[in-house]
Amino acid sequence: MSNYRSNDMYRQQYAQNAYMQQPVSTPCYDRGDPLENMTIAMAYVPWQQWRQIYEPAKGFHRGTIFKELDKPFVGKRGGR
Amino acid sequence: MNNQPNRKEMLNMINEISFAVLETQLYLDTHPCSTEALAYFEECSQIRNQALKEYAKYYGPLTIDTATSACNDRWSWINDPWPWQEGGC
Amino acid sequence: MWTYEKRLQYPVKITQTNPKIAQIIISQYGGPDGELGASMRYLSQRYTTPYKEVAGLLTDVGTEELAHLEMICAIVYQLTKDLSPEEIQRSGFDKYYVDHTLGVYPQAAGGTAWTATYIQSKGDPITDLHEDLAAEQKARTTYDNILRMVKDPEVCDPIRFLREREIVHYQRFGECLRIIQDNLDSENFYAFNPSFDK
Repeated sequence: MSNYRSNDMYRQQYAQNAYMQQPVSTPCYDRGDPLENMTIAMAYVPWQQWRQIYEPAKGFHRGTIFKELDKPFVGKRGGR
Repeated sequence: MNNQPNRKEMLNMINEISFAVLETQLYLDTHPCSTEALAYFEECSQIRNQALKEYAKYYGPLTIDTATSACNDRWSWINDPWPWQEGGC
Repeated sequence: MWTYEKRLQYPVKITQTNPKIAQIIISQYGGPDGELGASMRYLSQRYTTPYKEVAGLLTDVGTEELAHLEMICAIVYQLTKDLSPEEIQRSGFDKYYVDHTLGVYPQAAGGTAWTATYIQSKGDPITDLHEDLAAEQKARTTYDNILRMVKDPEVCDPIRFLREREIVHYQRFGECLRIIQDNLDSENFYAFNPSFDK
């Protein structure tokens, strides 16, 4: 069932690419993989570096001293 | 009177600096060689320890280790407010 | 062993009672993805971990989760403080009240008591860390759900804090998993259990 649906999506993308005269060598999306050198069958979380540290007062109210980890709940799409 | 610092402000400062200590502590657990984190931990810990002693002097102990800093003849550890009470923070 | 600091990690000052949302928020105390489970999970897993960084992190995060369950209990306590029998009956809080009065009890929003079946301590570092990563995401989603239900800013404030902590913990556990991987042969991470096999 789900195979049928995703083939449909690829067909639509293929058709759109063709309409917009983009390369259509394959109908499937060639994603590329920034993790292609990592061993498969394992999960990897990138290492955090010590940078962009909030002042204590701000960090306390945000719930973290690390700006890069400050990821608030928005509750709708399009927000950050 | 004397230079008695405001309790809420003192407690707020202790909360903020203690949080910085904790965040750095967790970071150091997985980055034990980070010189920046080690330095920040040192800096924040000193401020925190001083603040805890200071707080205990005026308002009673927040830790059992500062229970002797509170000068009185009663066991002040059990005094109100407790943290879950309004104003206990 | 543990010491106690006589303050909440983040202040809870709620001036308006609301037993309806207390009933929801209590899930972060005794529910399947709540702070009690988190604490017991990490503190249980730490004994057999062969890596000191991981033992340190499990200990420190497990301890922080105790501070979090204290905050959740304070929230529930303040949301239900001094309720009258009429308020209890009106809000549907009567089902909880009959068994616990206004006592704070570790259960899920639906009424199920906390159980160790909510956690696992599998004794294999790779497995345990995956459990921990999942736990932090489940907790975060639970806080997302609470934030959609709650409008009172006095309640939202500590809840947002607790939610952010889950994201930070996720990153730390991710780093623990990297440390475990670094200590194994990437040719086959699953050749043996470093907590058991010789």
